[in-house]
Amino acid sequence: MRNTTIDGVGSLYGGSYDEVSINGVGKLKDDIKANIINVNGVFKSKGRIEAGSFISDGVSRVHNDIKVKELKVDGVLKARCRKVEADSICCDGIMICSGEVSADNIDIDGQCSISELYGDKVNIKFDLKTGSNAGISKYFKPFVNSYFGRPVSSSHSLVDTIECTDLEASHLKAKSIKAKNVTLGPDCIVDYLECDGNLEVHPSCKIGKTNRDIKTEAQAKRNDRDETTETIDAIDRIIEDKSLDKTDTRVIEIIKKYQDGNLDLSEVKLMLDALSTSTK
Amino acid sequence: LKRNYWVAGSRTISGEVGNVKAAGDVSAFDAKISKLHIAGSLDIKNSFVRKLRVAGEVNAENTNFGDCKVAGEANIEGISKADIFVVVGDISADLLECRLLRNSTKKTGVTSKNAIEFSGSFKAETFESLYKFRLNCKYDFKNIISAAEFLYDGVLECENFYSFNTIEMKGINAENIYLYPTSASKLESLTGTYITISINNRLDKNFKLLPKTLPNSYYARLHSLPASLITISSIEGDKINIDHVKADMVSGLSVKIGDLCVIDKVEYKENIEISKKAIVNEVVKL
Repeated sequence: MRNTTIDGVGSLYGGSYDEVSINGVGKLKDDIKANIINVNGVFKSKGRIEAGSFISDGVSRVHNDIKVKELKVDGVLKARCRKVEADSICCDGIMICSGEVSADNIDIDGQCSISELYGDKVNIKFDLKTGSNAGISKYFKPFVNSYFGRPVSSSHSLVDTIECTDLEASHLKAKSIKAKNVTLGPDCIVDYLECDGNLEVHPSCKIGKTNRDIKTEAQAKRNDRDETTETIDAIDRIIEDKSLDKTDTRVIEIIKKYQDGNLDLSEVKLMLDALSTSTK
Repeated sequence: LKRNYWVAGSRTISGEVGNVKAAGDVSAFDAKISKLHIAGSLDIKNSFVRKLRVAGEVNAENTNFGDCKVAGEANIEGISKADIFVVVGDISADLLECRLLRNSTKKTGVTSKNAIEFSGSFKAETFESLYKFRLNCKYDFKNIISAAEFLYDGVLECENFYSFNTIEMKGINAENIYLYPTSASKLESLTGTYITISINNRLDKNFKLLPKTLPNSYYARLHSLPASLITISSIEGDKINIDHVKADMVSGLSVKIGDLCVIDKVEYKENIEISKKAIVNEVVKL
């Protein structure tokens, strides 16, 4: 099978290839089959893509189905109103899909906005750095959203529906999650969560309806109170380490506020730190 | 018709000139230059340059600039004026008057062992410090915005002072003061009309309206230091809004003591608000 390369600006009219590489600006006008598609620049496709591996290192806009074994996104992939099927998806940038994404292994370490996500092992880690750098002014947000065809957030990954076996996510906003094992890291907002296996939810998560008993922030707070005696010892050790006076009214007040639940341990540490530096 | 120059080597320019692009040494006197781009050194006297970009040394005497960016050393003799003056490197000036003055490129990292120092006399509407900076020159700045470590030996006086990083000085006296709380800062007193010390660096309307070389979004996206408590002996102002502060005395008309404050004595005249997460030893209504 032949290879084809676009260096600069060019168009492809579809066909079967061994390797397609686009270095610059490339346009695909019809269906394509290839072993490897390598994009380094800007790529726009109107045809269906079927490939062994599709590596997008730049900006790719696809307006038809993608069926690949390996999908690697290092820049931006925008798949509008279509299906993305793969064995494994690895995204280190931004992935926007207003249709369905399904793969055995999905690893998103960046930012995503996807309508439906189906997989076996799904790992969505929102990269705060990418998100804050993408910092979109509120004035441009409607234009950005209409460009991508889906809402984009600079603080969360957005997925409407997730169905998978194992899910691990942080900073995720989802309408519905159905999974066997779920691990939700900090700052996840989920409207509906269904989990049959292991469930771990960070206290800062907000979960709407669920089929399980979840340890919410309020419950965590209550449980924390039970652990107060253990942590009081920890505070005592901090006081000793910093050679603070235990009878100092400010120290007593800080401990009291901690016991009342107004302060958490890290805040106590910060305040005691400040007292110790001023006494020195 | 204005003449344009491409210079390789050395060249002397005078009169009305259009664009100059030079690799080498350029001398100019009694010149009016539209754009001057140099990789090399520039000696300029009694001239005006509308747009100047230099990678190298600049020696200027009684020269005015429009938009000026220098990466290298700048020596200014006599009185020079500029609209925007950005220098990445050392600068000495008999008197440099400008609207906007900045001490670094915007991509510079803010942590450094050595601090930049200016020598001479500087007057600016807004001074933006993006690199570790020690202020030990004569200054007359209306607004100071610091995104990096800022060091000064005395009590800093200006109209608006915004610091998003650590500061080391005796005190600050300004109308509007914003400080990011960090235990690495060293400060004794704070006097002003509106004083805010908060980990939330939401830029207020006053800040957004300040003239500056960089957009507000640059400051809004500054990477925050880990939060810790700043220690200040006394804070006096009309409207005070603080969190993460340890202070002996806070006195104001309207006082809001936010989270993680440890205050010995608070004096207020009109309103007071104290967070549940704050510790205040004594509250006095004046």
